[in-house]
Amino acid sequence: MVYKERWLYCCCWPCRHAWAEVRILACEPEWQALAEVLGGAQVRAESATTALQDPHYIEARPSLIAKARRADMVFCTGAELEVGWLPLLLRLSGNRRIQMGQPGYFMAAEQVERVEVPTQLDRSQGDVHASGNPHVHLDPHRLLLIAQAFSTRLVQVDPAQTAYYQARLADFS
Amino acid sequence: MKRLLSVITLCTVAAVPAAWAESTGRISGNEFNPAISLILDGRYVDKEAGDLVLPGFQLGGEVGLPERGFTTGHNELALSANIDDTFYGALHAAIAQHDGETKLELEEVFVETLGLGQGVTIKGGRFFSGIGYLNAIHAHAHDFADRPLVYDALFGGRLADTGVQVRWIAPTEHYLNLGAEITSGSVYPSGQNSSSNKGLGVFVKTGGDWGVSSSWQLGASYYRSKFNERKTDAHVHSDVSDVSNRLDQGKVDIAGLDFVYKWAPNGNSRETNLKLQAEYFVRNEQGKAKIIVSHPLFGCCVEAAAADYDGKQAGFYAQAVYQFRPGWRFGVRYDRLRAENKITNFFSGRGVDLDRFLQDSGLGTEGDPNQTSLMLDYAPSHFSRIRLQYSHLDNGHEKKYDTMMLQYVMSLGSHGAHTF
Repeated sequence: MVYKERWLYCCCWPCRHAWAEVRILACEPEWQALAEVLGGAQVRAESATTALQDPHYIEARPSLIAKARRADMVFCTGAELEVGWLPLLLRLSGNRRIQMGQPGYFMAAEQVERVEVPTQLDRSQGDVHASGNPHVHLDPHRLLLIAQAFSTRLVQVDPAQTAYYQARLADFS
Repeated sequence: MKRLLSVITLCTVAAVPAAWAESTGRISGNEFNPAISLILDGRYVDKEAGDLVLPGFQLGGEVGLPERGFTTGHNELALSANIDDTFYGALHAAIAQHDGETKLELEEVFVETLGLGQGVTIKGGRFFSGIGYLNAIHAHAHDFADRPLVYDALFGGRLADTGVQVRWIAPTEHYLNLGAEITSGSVYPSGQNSSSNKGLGVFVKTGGDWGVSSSWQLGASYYRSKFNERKTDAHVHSDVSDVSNRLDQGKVDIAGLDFVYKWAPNGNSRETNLKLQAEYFVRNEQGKAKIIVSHPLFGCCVEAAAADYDGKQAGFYAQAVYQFRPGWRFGVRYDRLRAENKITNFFSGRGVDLDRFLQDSGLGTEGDPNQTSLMLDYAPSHFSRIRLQYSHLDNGHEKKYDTMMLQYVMSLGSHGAHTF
């Protein structure tokens, strides 16, 4: 899949610089930073939101659709944090690599156990997260588990750079 | 496990995730339920009695002024899910009461490919056409309680038809979306055609961000169709019981431009935000316009009058909606229409003179219909909204309508996604 895309990039002048990089669309700047640490020079990570935005109140706007269209991976929190726009963004992108179930679909909260998974769901309690607390990046222990899982996924998406990614993970750990 | 995850819908996140179910060892048959959402819409409308008359426009489809008094509006039931890793499917049904009758109407029923690759998406079934900006957006997500006049006049509310749509997102840094659709062309502004495949729509959308606080989208679209027969209700409710308008051997084409601009400080729309939106459409249509009456002796459908009709109509709206504090929004909208219709070879069979024909067929042009609307709404959460709207409509020919509406729009069930 990746090779086929690369062949296309050869013919596509505006995106030629994407030749060797794994393009990662992170939903939040935290995951962009982690992707950059683990992927180093082999990845190009962008964040869909800034730290000043509420990642729950984002729209699948044109610039994000264009980014999702070209991404090799999406790196998001999951656990319903981005439910208001990410499913739609993926559907609009027409990009197979980042659909649910593909190696390019990576949700951090899915990699670890969440706290505060509600046993009772009712909207009178506000916009509750049925999958539990999505702030998984705040726990150093969980963050390490997420880093390991993401690195494994990077290797799966870009096996040619396996040694490089493993070395970066070792440095990080 | 991955296989299992891929099948689970993106939208049924409200259901217990499979991983969790697995860890608890529970077996249940309802984990694959589609995402269900129910929109409740109710309103109180204060206005004078009377139907909507827009001189120069032969109105069709689902247009009209809102009913007076307390009414339950456009309640919408939507089911959607990923069917497998290749297809997504959705059904949107509207449940509404008109004149004491409860009607279930299929708004959209379609399947769509999921990540076909190369930015291509194919959709099939009945769907809201991708032309224009507002056309594909469901009524509950509109910023005003009613549609802009130009959609009522030119599309009979909106263009929703059965067919196939193909979209392609270009692999460029800048957003570029090209779409084409072939549809039955049997709904207003088109009409019955023998092969039920005469509708053709194309659209192109582009857009991006200006800094971190602003984003925009610009679209252009074109629709055309041919039909053997288009029936619409006549404006007159006179002594003759059944009067209808027909346009025979007709063709219609519509071209449009749409623009949306959104601004929020630092892109955080939760506190304050501004949305500017404008659309312009021009429609050309030709055909043999006829007034059909039922005759006491000969029964149904006698031609009372006929003429060759060549119409050129245009309209636009521009609106601004500003959220001045969390939950509170204020909006203003201006609408304007213009029609230039050529009527030639007038023929009257039953004493209907040209003036009467122009009035009853809706094709006689007068001044430009225009409307100004003001809106204030409050949304305690993104699942509920209460809206107050005032509209002043001048149809360009003597009639003026003042409408005051108090509306609630509530969303139950799965968390809807926000389109741009």
